[in-house]
Amino acid sequence: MNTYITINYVLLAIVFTFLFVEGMSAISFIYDRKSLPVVKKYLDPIWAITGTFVVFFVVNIEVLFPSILPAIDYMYVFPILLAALLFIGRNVFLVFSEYIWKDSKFSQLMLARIYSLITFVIIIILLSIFISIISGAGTNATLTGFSTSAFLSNPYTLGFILGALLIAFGLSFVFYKIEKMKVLSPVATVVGLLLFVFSISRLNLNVNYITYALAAAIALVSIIYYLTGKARREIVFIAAFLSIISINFLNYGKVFGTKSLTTYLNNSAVAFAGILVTIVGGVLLTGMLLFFLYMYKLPDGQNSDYNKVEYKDDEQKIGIANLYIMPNNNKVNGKEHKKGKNWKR
Amino acid sequence: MVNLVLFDAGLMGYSLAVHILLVTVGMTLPIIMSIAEFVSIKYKIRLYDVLAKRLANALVIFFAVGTASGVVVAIELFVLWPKFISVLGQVGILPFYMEVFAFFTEAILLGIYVYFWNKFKSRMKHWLLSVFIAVGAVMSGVFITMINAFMNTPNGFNIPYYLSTGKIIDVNPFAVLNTPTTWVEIGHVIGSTIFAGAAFFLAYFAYKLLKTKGIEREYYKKAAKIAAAIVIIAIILTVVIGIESITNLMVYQPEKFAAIEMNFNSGPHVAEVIGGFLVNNKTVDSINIPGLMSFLATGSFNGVIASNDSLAAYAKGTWPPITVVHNTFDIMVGVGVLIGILMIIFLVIWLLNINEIRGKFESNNFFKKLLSRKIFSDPFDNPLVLRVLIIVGVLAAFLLEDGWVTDEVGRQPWILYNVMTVSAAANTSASVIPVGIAIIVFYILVFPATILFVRKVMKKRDLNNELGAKP
Repeated sequence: MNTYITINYVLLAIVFTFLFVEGMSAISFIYDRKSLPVVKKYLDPIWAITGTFVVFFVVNIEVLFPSILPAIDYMYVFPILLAALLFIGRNVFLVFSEYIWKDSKFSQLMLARIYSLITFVIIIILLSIFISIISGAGTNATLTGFSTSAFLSNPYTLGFILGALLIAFGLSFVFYKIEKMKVLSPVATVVGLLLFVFSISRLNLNVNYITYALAAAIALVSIIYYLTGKARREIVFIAAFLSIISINFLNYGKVFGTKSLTTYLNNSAVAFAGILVTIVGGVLLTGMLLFFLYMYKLPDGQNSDYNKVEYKDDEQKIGIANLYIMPNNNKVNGKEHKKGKNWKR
Repeated sequence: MVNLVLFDAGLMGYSLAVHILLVTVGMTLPIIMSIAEFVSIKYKIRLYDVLAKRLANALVIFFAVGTASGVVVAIELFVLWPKFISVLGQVGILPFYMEVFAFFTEAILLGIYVYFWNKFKSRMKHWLLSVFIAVGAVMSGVFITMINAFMNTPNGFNIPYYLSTGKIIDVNPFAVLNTPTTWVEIGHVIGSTIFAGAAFFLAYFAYKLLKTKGIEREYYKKAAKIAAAIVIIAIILTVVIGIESITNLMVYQPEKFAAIEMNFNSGPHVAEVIGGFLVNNKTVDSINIPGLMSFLATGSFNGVIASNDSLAAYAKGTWPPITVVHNTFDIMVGVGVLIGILMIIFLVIWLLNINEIRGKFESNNFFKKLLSRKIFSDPFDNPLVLRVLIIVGVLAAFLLEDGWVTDEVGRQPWILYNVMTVSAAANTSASVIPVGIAIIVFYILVFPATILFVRKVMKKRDLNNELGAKP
């Protein structure tokens, strides 16, 4: 097993796990308006991390497989640039929905739903590129062009995308504990899984008992939630990660249907340096993510210093800050200077 | 038929021109925020707490747009210049990769800083996050500048072999971290970015000082003082390293140096050319100061300018657009000097308003009378000074863009100096046109919309409420 390819696959699985969960958030905004506060509580602190993981994955490809990029650039230039453009929209509408004031003509829900629509398109584009790269759907033999009509007329590529979205819809009930018609959760999940697994097998991608076991486990998560109302978010994360990484490993080293990923590997010096940076950066990243998780789980601090602090009068002497950050006002000459109409203090 | 190389270059240039404005904000905001929170904790002043909190919220909004814009620029770099990126990937990609972790630091810690503010038992620990956020923001800039330095002075592989065979050998991936121009460029870029960002905020705070009163005014006064202190420190750093970067250009990018000086001469007593245009390989409408270029370069009016610092030493085909590069450089120097003089005057007035210093001067009757003039009153209460600060903010943003144009256009026609031309690196797929146009339109809408949104969010806040409620 090649270390570089393995690292890239792990990253790919993390990226699509985060995107999958974000897809669930987007679905929830549209499906159930009551989910807004619950989803926002999860999404607001984490959307930037999801975006950064996408960048991480893209740069990792550049570090490990730079010679694959000209082919990707020529074939997918339009969808990649479109996704990048929509990425601005995703961030803008999400953050606008967070800070929109109460008497605005744009409601928080409306902005969140626009974000949802944009996110759907981004996810569909990324899923399309992903399935095209690993199966070769829509690409030509010389890797110089991409046929949108060939891609769209292949029912299994569409089945793959639709299946993934249905699974996301089904699991969004579990992730955000949505109650509205929750019978749809197991129905969507199971139908989505059937469609997804059938499509990838028809796209000449390998599936085996691991695929079926993971599909059964995901279906079970949804069914248990429907029957008991109990669910844990971590399970959805883990199931998504394992499913994506299993697809990668079952089709190890395969790109554009018939090509081998190892032929695109970077020279050993840069690839090795890339691994060193990945390890050092990965340790830092893991530490920060664990810290994030710890803070996320921590209850609001009743013992915080912010609740105890007694603020001093602004005008008193405060040492160096008084000298340089806040010198005295303009009474130093014994009189205040003449001021305009807005200058009354 | 659209020239796709020009379209790619135009799209990239336009995206970067907008993006660097967002970067200035994204790099400076955490610094101001961090200082504000520190002062608040250290001296228990609630207004600084409110300032830190407000700036944190503004930072989240700018971060959202800035990071998305950064992704667009990064992806443009990948898809518009596939041959360049292929070489970069095989030699000098490490800073890009490291930048991802700086970016993560900022993204993750900003999330914790803003959304879990009240969960921290210790305020100092919370403040420490702001320091790491600021470091993450600055380090992102440092790593990206390393890539730019690599484009200006490529190293880390066997360049002659690559030029003759197109193959890359003898790769040292860590060499990109220390090209001959890396550290000078980092100092100049980071210094000027923080200067421009702080000047932009200072202008905003100065504007608010002109428009507000009461406690609201006191709040903006505190904010303005932090921004002003950063502007003064950053401009000193920028000027000092800017001079060093010119020396670096003479040695490592002499053709670019010759272009920005519009210099066709070598030997002793070479004149400095100010302004002017290039017509039929001759300089017209310029002001020539005899011997000044020799003096600036060597310290003597009779100092010798080397022949490779003259455009005459290079084939015309490799010259950058001389008139553009030369005039943007002269404008940069001119506006920079103007801002420097204004900020020195501002600093003197500010220092003279510190009681201890003023007291010493006022013991002399002449100075006492002089200091009683309005111009020497607290600069943050003086409408004239505040208006000047607003102009400085606008000029600083212009200066940043102007300096960036000088640097990038000055490297033309190369994307990798003396290794690969822009036209050889460009993606000539026509698919870029519709999305490229959409990106241009989108930026036109998103950038002002974001500024207006932040302004409105801040305006909707009631300072009295914020002072009443704990942050």
